[in-house]
Amino acid sequence: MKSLIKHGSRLGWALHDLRDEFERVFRDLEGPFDPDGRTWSPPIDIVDKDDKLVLTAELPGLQKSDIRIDLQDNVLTIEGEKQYKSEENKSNYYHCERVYGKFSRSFTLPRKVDSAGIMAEFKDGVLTITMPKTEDAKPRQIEIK
Amino acid sequence: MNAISARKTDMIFIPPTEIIESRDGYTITMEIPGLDKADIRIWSENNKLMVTAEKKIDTEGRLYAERIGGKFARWFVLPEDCEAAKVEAEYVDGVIRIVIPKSEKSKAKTITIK
Repeated sequence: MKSLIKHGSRLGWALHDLRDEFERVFRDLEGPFDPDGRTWSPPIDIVDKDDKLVLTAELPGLQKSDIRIDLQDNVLTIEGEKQYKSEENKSNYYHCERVYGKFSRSFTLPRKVDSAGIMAEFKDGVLTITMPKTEDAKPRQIEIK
Repeated sequence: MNAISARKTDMIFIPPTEIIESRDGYTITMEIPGLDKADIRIWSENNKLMVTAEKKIDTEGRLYAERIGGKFARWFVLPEDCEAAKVEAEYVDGVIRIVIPKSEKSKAKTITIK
């Protein structure tokens, strides 16, 4: 698209953002009718609790078997696919905001995580990965002699 | 630019919703992971259906923050062929699923040729 507005101007950027937004909306509209090759990105939080790091990922509508967690060389990868049921595919969509498809997210774990003690749980569409800190990294109080 | 960027940061939680019509009725699905079933309220009045809930997330000490929590309310106007009294709902794997049956007389029928 040839732009009439100079790049760098405020209005130029605003229109640029708006165009991206429109593209995103139209891409989303294709949603359930063309699931192949589409990707989405589940929202993820990482919280620092005194003795551990807790990662939570929102994966509504997935089953435990749809999710894969890999740990290789300190890189934690969460992958999966949200599928839609074929019986519903045949019906009429009135409103469609849900996004389906594959996702993959990777995080480099900090040195202070004890990778042998990592645990994962999946409940009500939320994946929780608990990563204990190594003994050295845990907060401790130092006594004054 | 400001208006659009601001929307990205001060995001309000709006659960992604789908409405599908089938032969027997309508199905509304809403993605709201991590809810307590007791915090979900669904009620219908005349031809309106309202869903409210609160998504609570732990925001203290976040190193990485993408999840959005908060209260939300969404309401739907039901078509005339619905039986609002027979609405059923369940919450499975972070998805609320509301099934609204069509009234008997409005259901699609197959007519046999005599």
